[in-house]
Amino acid sequence: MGENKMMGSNNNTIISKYIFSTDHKVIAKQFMALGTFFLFFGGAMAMLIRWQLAYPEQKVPWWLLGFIFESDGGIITPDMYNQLFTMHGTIMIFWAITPLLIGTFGNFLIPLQIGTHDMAFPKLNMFSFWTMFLASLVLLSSYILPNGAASGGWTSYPPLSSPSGGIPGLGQTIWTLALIIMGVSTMMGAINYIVTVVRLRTPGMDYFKMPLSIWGLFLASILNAVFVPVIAAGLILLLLDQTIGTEFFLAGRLASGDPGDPLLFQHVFWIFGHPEVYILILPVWGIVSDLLSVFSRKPAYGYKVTAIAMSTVVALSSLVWGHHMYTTGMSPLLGKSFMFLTLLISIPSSMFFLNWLGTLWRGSIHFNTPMLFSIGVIWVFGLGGLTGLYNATVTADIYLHDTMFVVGHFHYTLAASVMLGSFAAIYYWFPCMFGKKLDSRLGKIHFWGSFISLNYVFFNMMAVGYAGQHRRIYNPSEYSFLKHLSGMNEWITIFAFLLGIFQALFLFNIVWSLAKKEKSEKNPWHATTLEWTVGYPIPHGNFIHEPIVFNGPHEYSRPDIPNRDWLGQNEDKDDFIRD
Amino acid sequence: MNTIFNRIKLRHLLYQGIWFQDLPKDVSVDGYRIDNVISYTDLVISIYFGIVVALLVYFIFQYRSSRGHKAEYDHGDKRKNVMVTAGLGFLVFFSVDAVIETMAFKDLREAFWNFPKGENVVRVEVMPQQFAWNFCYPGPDNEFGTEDDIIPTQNQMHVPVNTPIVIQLASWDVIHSFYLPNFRVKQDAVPGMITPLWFQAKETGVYDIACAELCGNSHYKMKGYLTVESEEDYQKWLNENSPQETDSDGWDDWEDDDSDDSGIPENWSWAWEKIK
Amino acid sequence: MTNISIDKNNQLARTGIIMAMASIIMLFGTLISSFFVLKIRLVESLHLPENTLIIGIINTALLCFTSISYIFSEKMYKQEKFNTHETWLFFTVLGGYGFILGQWLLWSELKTLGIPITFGQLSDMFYVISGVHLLHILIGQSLLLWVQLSRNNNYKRIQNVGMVWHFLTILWVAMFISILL
Repeated sequence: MGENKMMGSNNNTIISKYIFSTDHKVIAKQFMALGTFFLFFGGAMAMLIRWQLAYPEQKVPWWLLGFIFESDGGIITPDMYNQLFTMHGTIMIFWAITPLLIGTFGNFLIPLQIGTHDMAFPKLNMFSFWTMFLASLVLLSSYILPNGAASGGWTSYPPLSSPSGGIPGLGQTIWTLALIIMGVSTMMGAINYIVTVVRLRTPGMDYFKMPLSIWGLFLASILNAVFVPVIAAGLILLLLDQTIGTEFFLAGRLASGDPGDPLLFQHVFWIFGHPEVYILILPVWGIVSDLLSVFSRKPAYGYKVTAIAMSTVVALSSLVWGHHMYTTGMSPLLGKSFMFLTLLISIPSSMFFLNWLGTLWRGSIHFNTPMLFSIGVIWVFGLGGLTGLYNATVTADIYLHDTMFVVGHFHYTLAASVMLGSFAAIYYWFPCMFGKKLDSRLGKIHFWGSFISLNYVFFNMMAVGYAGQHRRIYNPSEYSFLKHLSGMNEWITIFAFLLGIFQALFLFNIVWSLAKKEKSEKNPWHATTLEWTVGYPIPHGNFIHEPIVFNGPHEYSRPDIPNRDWLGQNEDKDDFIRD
Repeated sequence: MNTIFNRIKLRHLLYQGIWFQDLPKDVSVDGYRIDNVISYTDLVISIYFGIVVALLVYFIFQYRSSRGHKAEYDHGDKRKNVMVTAGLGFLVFFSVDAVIETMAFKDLREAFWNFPKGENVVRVEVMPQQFAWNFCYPGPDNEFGTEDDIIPTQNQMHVPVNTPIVIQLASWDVIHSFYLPNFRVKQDAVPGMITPLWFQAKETGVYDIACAELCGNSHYKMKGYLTVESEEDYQKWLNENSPQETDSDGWDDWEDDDSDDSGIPENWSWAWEKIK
Repeated sequence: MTNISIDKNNQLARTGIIMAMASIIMLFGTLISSFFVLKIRLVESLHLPENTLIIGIINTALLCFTSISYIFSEKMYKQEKFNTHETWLFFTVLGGYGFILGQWLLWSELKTLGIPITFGQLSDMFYVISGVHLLHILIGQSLLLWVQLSRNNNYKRIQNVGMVWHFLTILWVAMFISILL
């Protein structure tokens, strides 16, 4: 039954094994490398942004790559500052988080955890990576343009992002093109993941026996497949505005003929943009649900409720985009509807959040590094999610829109939750991917350093936003109502630098652990899911014989199995139960 | 390095680094509504997050594996469990979401979307450009687009205290946002559209106007000054800025890398749109 | 490759095609919605000049014909009348080229009549919608050629390619009609 044809295939050359491989595990690592590179690239930009906000118009020190600004006298200019936050946002969202979570863990985990040999379309998978690589080259090429990279914010609202908006050079246009190419890559990946989960689950792997990590990745892929085309359409229209002189989004004085509609772009952008943030967080929700279970040695509390709650959030997320546009002058009825729908998302979110706590309750908690990061996610996502309530309220949002409060809120839910979640995933699956464990002492230091810094930086960012500091401004001290915040801005920067230093420690841990000879034991975490049954190195084609699944993914501490506190998904409990 | 270490003082840290920040002083008649809904949200969020943290800490200590207890094999999917979870979810919804929603809807209906009508209302047209604020007052004939329209120096807006001010916003070029932190006012100015807003000041003084939508390289410098003054002072200022009193060119010089003259015609105002 | 494996691949391909159709519907849905938003704001309709309209209608009919001819070619394949199958397939492919040419002609005619792609919002959108659609037709045409030139076809593959092609036809008809209403 199910003899695996992929075993013993002839991927022998370096090119076909590591560069143009169609093996999902190799492609996962390629995405990991790309994502990690851009994580540090985007992170460096964040450090520079913070430098400017703490020490406006002061020379950038050598250890912050000050030499980049030599031509401007060593300081960050307003134009450069705008480029920094624009590219920071763009890169972190599309080039760091998406490749790291969805590209790496989607690719690595989906076939293994559902028990199949590879993705449904391995060649398409390979194309998806190389398309992303092409998009990366296009994006990075904007840095060598004379007028630099895009500087219209990651939201790129026209008319500012059109040539007539006053931003010189081609940076904005290249940005638009890079995003379209990236969108194509994402769409290819999403379709691949969906077909794989729908069609290639091994016998016994019902939808409600899949690990919640797969639920998260699957739901994220559905959102990707449905909504990335929307932004692609908007970006195509924007690209035409930027290149051949159409005026879809120009109005007022800047429009030479019939006026277009700048708000149309905002609607199209946010119809994609809101589901996008759920795309970024869904894998983390799934992964954390699974990891809490593994390290509490207890089934994930309310598995079905969590899966359905996540699906409900996915459905609702398509209806709430207007809450990004409350101040644009939309009709009162529309504003109220968006507010109501946005608030509704609280209910399913609270439910699966409570289920996280339920998993810990009465468990037997082991504080390995992945668990520390997972508990960290509970903290930061709890806080971040709750602060969304301020922004959901139309009236509170009148005050808080476009302030650092929003920035703090989304960094809590995006940066803090996603980063801690990604780190949890990396520490957890490192033995599965590389055969070695990451050092746990360094891991714990990495956790505490990151956790404390993340909280300090983004909580206080919300504080300065609360005080009224608005976004995307080069020098807050221009305004009398913000002058008193310079001290706090400085402290945020100091902790941001600290955050960066701890990530360097993480990088060191990765390199050092890979270089060590010591290999990890098979299934070091005693987990029940299928990816741990194949040992290391995982053969091409994953499973020699098609696995058959009997149990759910969280069979921990079963009272009817006395001598082990876990039962693998493909293990027959009758082999273990004593009569 | 010196810059950073010179400034580290413990007092500095305590006063500036870890204390919560206050909202800016609110001198508007309806701003308290926003402050209230924010305060209520502050309160409930602190309570709920506090409970979550307490639970987390309790669970971490009580259920750590080194205590030796076996985990309880509970899938949490029995009907009772689901009901409790759902119940708690709805509790959160009704204690937080429903309340702030009701507060917000009420405030929108009573104040923010309830535009004042009548004789006493001062109407101003505000037109931001890259990178300055332009204002237009209708003048003695109370009509826009006529010869007696008053267009003061850029970035200088004066309004009388205790009077409803109704504003229509339209942008000259890209999207800007009219932001009055001390009045809890924020509204986007979109080219090709006219958006209304209103507020009323209850204290005199000079307050900041800022642009809250990225509009280019000098977005951060797009600062204006809103002077709230007594009715007499306001009338005096209007007279000083009437077309007969000033030169034909009332533009202030402003530092800006991008352009010298954006080509805004002198009579840029539009016919006042009826607000429903 | 065993028969089971080919079948599995085709089943996977079919699911993939359905997902891709969902994505493409969202893409064109956004473009069409944008068209209608602009139309409402401008309080106008799209009036194509008569020549262009005629070319458009003929081209649309041609595309419908190719779908019909493909259905026949599919039927013939199933009945194992391979020569007739190839004939109908040939007409489909020819019609495909004809449609591509026809769209090109339509654009040239528009441009000659003084309506280039930068003329006005609604006609610009027409260019974009028909252009993006044509890019997808090129993919469809490649699939048709693949079926035509492949040595080892099977019925499921022919059905799958048919799904793609009919989808593109229906998409075009729907959009063409709604734009002109």
